[in-house]
Amino acid sequence: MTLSVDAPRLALTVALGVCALFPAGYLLATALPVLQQGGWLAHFASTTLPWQAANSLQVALLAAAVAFAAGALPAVLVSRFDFAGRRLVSLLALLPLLFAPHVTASTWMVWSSSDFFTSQYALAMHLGLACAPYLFVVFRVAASRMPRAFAELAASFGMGWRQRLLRVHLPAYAVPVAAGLLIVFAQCLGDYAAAERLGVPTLSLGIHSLWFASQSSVVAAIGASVLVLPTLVLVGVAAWASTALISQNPVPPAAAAASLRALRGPAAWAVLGWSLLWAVPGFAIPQVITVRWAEKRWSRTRFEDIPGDMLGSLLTAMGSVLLVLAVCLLVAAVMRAGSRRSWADRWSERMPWLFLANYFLPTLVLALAFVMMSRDGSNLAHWLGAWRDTAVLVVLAVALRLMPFALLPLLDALRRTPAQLIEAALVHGAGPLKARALAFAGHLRPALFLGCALVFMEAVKEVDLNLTLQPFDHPSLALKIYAFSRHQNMDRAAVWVLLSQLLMLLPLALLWWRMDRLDGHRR
Amino acid sequence: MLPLLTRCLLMIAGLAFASATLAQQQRVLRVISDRSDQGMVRPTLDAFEARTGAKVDGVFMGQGLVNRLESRPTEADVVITADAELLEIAADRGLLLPIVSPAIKAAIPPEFMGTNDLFFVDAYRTRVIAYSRARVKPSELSTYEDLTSPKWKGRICVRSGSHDYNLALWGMFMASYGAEKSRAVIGGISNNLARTPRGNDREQARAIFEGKCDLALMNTYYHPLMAANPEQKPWADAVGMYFPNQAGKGSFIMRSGVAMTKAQGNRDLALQLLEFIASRESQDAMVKATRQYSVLPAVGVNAAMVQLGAEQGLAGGRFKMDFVPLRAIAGNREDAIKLVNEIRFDAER
Amino acid sequence: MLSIQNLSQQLSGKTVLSELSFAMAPGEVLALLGPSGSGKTSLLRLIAGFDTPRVGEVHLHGQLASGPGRVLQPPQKRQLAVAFQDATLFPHLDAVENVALAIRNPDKAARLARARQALLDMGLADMQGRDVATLSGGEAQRVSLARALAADSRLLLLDEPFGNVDRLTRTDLVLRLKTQLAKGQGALIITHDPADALDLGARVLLLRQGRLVADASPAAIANGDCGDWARAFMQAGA
Repeated sequence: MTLSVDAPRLALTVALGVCALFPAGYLLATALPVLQQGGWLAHFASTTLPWQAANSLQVALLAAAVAFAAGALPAVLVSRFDFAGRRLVSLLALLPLLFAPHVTASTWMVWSSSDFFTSQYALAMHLGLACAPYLFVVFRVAASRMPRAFAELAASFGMGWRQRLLRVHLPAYAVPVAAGLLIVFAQCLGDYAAAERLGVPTLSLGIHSLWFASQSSVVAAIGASVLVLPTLVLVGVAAWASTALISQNPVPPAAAAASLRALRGPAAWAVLGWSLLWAVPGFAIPQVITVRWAEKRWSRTRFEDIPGDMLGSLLTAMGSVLLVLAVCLLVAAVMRAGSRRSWADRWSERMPWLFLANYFLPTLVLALAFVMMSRDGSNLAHWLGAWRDTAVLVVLAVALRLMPFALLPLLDALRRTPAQLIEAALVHGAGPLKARALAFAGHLRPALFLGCALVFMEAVKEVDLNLTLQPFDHPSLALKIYAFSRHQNMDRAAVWVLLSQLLMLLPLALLWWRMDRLDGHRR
Repeated sequence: MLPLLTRCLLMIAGLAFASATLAQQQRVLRVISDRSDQGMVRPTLDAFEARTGAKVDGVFMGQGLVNRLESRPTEADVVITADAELLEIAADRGLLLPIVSPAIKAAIPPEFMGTNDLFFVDAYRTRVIAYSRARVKPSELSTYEDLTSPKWKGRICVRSGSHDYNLALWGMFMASYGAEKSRAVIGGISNNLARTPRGNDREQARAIFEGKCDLALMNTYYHPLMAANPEQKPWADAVGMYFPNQAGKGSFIMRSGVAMTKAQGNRDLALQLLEFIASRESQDAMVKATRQYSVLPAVGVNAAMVQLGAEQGLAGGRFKMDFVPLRAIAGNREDAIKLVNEIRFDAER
Repeated sequence: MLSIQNLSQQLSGKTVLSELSFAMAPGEVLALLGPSGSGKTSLLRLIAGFDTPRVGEVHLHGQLASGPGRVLQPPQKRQLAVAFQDATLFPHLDAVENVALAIRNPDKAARLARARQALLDMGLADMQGRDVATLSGGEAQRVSLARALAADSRLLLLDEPFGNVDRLTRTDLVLRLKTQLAKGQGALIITHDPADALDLGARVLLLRQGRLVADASPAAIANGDCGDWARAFMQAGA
């Protein structure tokens, strides 16, 4: 027995695609008809674009190396081996989530006079370390599902470790590697604040300079089209690959349930040492400096602002989480579970991937799109009504940008849930929605949990969308931190940084706990 | 006698009604500013609130001010900006309302009134040459153009050439020197840089303190700000501030400004705020809080800045200003950014 | 070919094998029987070198392969071929490539040709380009068996090779496997079904709670030579 939900599914698919691509499409629609106007594109292309693009690429490649070393490698080791300090390694890998990259960049820059901390190598380090927790999560999930049987089988056929690495492990990890690279490149291309702090001329900085110099949204759209077009192509490829290349996991859970291998002595210490090494620049030192600054500035802090700012940040972040959750639940209720059988199934699964486009776009460019889309008299302004002038617009923009964090794990979980589970629940008397809830609880709940924790933390740290779209009297920890860091008053920002970390502690703890539970059955 | 519970409920209802009424009666003025740090503006707004009983709600947004105004022309009642050029651009795009106020007209000198009285300048600062007290004598300095001299090769530190502060300065060069000379001056400065442009103005002072360069371009208010910060005081002590072109047309100034939008409903209150900003009381407070220079001749220089320029013979912190009209500068920013890109001012060195 | 001496193993504090000893001659076919949880897979993993024995020794091809707390010969040196219970086909390779992976021949064309033949021997034709995700349970099992047989090993270790297939497929697979094994390759086959042992004509090792309770022919066990429990087990499955 199969569920017949084609019309709603089609409607949802189209709606998701439109929502996902609307900002990028709007920018392109603004820019394309006037692409040659004022000679801006030609000027950009013939002057700063080539070397800023080269800078951005170099930063992204270096950041990827850092992120893989600090995030992916510990994740695979923690998934494969049992050793003293294993939980600590997980925690160390996640701690950089407590800092926004522009905050670590500013902290290091203010604290140390070394030229390194205003170089593009420092930018790559900060961005790479900011991405490392995401790679840790992606690889942790992937590795925990990877049956050891593959490697054992290959060994039994006579393959040494090099051959196993090339012919078994690397192909098996191709998907998380691609996902990791996407995350790093999106972060590096989209970053503005950290590059601006360090004065590293990246592509994003170049586009913003055009915008701010001309004070013209059209010029900004023209400049942004340089990023929008390749973004759409890249995201389109990722969406196609998600259903064409990534096969459903043919290996039942039992095969993956091999127990962890013990790691002792110098090898175990080396793993712990490696994690500690990366935690030092990404968390430990910035944290110690921040605490010391906070102590110094404590008596001069405007305490009366704290409750408002914390509440403002909490409400905006929670609003974003709830909106993301609502979309995810809608997708879970309507989309088909299990394998993709028809072209309609495949397209319905590809559409949500298009949300990645908003993650790739620099946040200030996304903010520009929202400013333009929500202008007086526009459809969005009409639809939102009085809500446009509240934090709802910020919540919308933040949720749109962070949607992939929850939606993509959800899609993965949906794919792993056999449709027969829903049918079994229906047969035993559950209604359509309850049947889905019962069938999906096992896979979807952890995926949503993970995704929402990440969305919350990113929403607390989010600056550019808050800055540009904020309503009147909008209290926000991130905006306070930004305002102080712009003028290098990192000591004044310290208390607010600690407060934002306080908000993020619970989701971080839950994330850590969730990572630990991934292989509870394998101990 | 009413039962206690009923009395309490009535009291609560009464209070709620009173607050609602009060909230309704209390007017709300909406201000939009590109100052992301409210600390510069908030004291003025707080003082206005105390004086009038109105509430001032603000959006302190950093970049993108003009675009937001274009997108929502009547969202705010008042615009306060650190860069009056933006008001010139906003005025060009028909976003501002003329200021009709005898009080403002009387207080603000004509050179600080905007085109067609659509805005006025409420404060200014200047972008001076910061120099190493240990390695450079004030007598070696003279003009902005002199920074292109070979004697300064590899001795100048500057933040990004595409940053607003520098773009404003380059725009003034273009308006004052003309296209060709300004290109030569900006290119010459670029050739004399000691390192890749990076960091903000205070970072340049730090670089001078650490011996990485001898000269920098900085806004005047940073010197007292650094002097007041224990960790940055050594930087302030290491640098002197030289006001260029004092023997000629004067140093270039950067102007902050305020304006009214075309929003209706609060125009009288908006005008009251502008008049307050133009008042002696507010200007005194502004000078103290922001370390800028007041547009009112009677208002003194911030005590911490009185000594600036003393080494070059300036008294009381006063200096000659090159008054390039905003109208002449506003259109130059696009050309400035194009020039900066063409000469690769921010390229890696 | 294979000699197990006094092997004991623990997993998560629980004893899964206890003082196990037996030997296997070259070319012999052994069926490892027992109820679920009796330690069959644990024994296979020790023989393959995937796990380290707590106590006892594993001798392969006349050499000490594993000792107490150490693996002296890594799995890739043991000249074995393994087929796991759930096929374990590599998702990034098609069916033919999955089989070719086990063939040690530098010539790629020769490997693929051999792989296609191995699949034909298992009753599978036209497997070139077949995505393993699209294979049925029976097809996947055949591919897994074809891969193990194509590996040209000295000893086959098969874990429940007929566990996920229907009776007809099972019968066909047993026949094909017998044909291949008749060429002289030794095999240790884990199964919970005594009928498999009977059909393959194998000597039976019967495990119960990690202990070896019978090491004899199916007929002898069924006769009661190894005790009532062993007889009951064999008769239940026959």
